[in-house]
Amino acid sequence: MDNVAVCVELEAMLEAATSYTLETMCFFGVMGPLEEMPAGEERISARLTFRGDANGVFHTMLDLSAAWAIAANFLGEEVADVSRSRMEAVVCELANMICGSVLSNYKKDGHFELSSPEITGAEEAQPDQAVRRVFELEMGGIALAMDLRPKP
Amino acid sequence: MSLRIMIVDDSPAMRSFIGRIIQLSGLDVVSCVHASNGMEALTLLRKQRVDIVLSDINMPIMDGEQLLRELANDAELTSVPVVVVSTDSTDSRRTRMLELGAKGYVRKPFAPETLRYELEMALGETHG
Repeated sequence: MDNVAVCVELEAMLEAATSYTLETMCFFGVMGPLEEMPAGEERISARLTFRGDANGVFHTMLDLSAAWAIAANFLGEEVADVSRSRMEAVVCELANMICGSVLSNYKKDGHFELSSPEITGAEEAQPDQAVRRVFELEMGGIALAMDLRPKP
Repeated sequence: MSLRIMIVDDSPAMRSFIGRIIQLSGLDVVSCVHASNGMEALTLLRKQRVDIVLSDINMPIMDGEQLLRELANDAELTSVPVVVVSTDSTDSRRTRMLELGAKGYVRKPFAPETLRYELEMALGETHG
């Protein structure tokens, strides 16, 4: 499969995994695709690496208001009762689930190891060469980037 | 029958989510016991009875695969049913975990009804 076809396939998988994860696990609606993240909001980012039958880095960036609301829904609590560290843990879990879902669909019979997701600088640049998708959520936005790298 | 369920996952947020989904599922659950890795799960299982274990795979100290091996080799615990709950939904991983003795496999992300279905199937198999 050529690079363009792989990108198209991964973009579709990113969309499906993001919608399904947010709707079933976080009870949070995905409204539709965007070109770029909405301007003006503070953001939070998480990152993890994966290796195995595909190697690379997965980035997730969320508007902070969305991150708090998603964490509250996931934990079944009010936003005011969720601490910053627990909100960050949910953002990491979200990145883990979306990345795992995409990779499992990308190579159904493959084998992957995912690193533990970590919170990164809010404005850490998502790599230009990555497959990227941005979505409007019922509150704020989410950007995802999957950067596949050649096997060493 | 009131169930005691063990949730094994290194993410407290995920353990909390799974516990809440179980409590809302309509199953008669008397308590959920939490463990953050396979080793902690084994220690707790040797001290208290649980009816079923829900376990992640990728965890520090002892992962889900090793937990299944340890349970299979322990005469006291070999009958405790385990349902795997993991982000790794590749066919190869699922097959390996079922070969190691898992009674079910739930792929994260999952719909609440999927978790309940797998729990009921695994418990039905065990309790007839």
